[in-house]
Amino acid sequence: MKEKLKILVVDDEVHILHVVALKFRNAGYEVITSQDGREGLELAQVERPALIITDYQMPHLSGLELARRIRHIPSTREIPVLMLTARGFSVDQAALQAAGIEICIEKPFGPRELLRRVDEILQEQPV
Amino acid sequence: MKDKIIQSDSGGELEALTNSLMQSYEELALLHRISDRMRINQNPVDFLNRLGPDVREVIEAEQLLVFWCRKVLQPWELPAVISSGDMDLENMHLEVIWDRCRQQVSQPNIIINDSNVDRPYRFAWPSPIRNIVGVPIHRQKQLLGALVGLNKTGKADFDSIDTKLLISVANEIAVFLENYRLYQDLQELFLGSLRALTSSVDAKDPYTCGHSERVSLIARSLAEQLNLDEENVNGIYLAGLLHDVGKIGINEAVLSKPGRLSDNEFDQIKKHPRIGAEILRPIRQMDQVTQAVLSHHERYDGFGYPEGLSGNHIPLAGRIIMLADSFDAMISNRTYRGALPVGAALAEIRRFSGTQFDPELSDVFLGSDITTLLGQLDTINTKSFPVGVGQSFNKLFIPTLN
Repeated sequence: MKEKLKILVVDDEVHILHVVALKFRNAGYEVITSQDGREGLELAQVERPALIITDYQMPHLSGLELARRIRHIPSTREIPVLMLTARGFSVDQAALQAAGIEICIEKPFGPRELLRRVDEILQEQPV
Repeated sequence: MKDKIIQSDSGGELEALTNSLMQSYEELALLHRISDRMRINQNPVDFLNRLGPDVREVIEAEQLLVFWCRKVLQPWELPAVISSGDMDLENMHLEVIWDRCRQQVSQPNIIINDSNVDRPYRFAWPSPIRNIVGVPIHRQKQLLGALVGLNKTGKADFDSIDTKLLISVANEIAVFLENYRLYQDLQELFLGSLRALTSSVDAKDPYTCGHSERVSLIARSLAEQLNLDEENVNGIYLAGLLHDVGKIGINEAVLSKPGRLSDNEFDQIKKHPRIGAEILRPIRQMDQVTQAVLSHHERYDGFGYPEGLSGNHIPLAGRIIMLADSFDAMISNRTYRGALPVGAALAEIRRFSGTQFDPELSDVFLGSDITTLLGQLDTINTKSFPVGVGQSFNKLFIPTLN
């Protein structure tokens, strides 16, 4: 039986977590969630998800900072990170690159599109 | 921490709510996408062709139809249809659907909503139509078309969320189509006014009636052969229409004098490029046209007027008009001589290539399809004012039934 891929979703808005979790679970992923950036960082190290979806603006630890730290920890360095940003809010490209963020998606996003992008990223990954 | 928040509870109520929220997210994202595209995309067919599959996916329909009334339709006429999906539909289906849309148009929002899920069908629909939902695309009580979804997938029928989304999308389409129509109207008004102006100049002299129109066609054809961009081609078309507008300031007796002109009379005529340019100068947007009008009697070898410019110092539009103007003058009857046969006119162009005419332009012109061009020129009735919008400004894509 194929093992389910784990996705970590970090967002301070609980309805986003609900929507993403439902969509991805229905698609056959296992979903771990957190509303806090620092907690998300811990979970990343413990759970070693295949991919992380994170919001940008969060209390304590921003999504950008979270991604940066993920890059610096050996056990999580390779995990692709996808960031959700507010519509019309542009993040500095250089900062994104430095943090190793694969893709940004604007909110409100279509869940279907999000799933598609995640599938794409994970298919390109070596197993 | 894992799954602390997300737990199914109270009979899946949370899941139902989340599903609903998820669908709302899809719809919002769709509406944002559409409004973004409205900024970029001017072409209705492109816009609607991209919109179709997107909307179809979000409302989960087998087929999505956009009916678009590009003009006022007769009761039996079908509007243009942009269709997305794989359903096996023929003209007959479209006619039935459109016919029912039209009949129901007095309804404010949803004009068709039919299936046999809750109750029997209201209308008989040709197979393979199973469910159908349609909303009007309208603006200021004018019906611009309709947006129709067929055969819900994944569920038994379209629900109120789907129909609400269709209404929102239809509103966006309506704004877009209305703007497009207004823009087209404005173009027509502008061009129509210009042609009225230039015809009035031409009409004074029976020998030049229709001349400006013909020059603009010849010039545009040449511009297109040179693969200039659309804006330039349109500018050259306008320059062709307006090139002799300065003649309005020239004494009529001189303009229509048969036989040779005295030096004095010729000097007077030579003022018309400058007069024309002065007339147009206040119109900021016509800068390129004004340049062409000023320079349309400049010769490649520098012996032209008013400024004696030569070679590439003469604006390209001016060189093009010079050639077009001369060609039309040669193949038309004038007060001072009869029309030349086409072959002789072309020979003259070859002969003066490099002196009067830009050699490259001459080559392109001589190598082009003169026969077709002459056919187009023939359609300009020299006895009456030209009507209708030129092709360049009416370059509407014909939507295909697919």
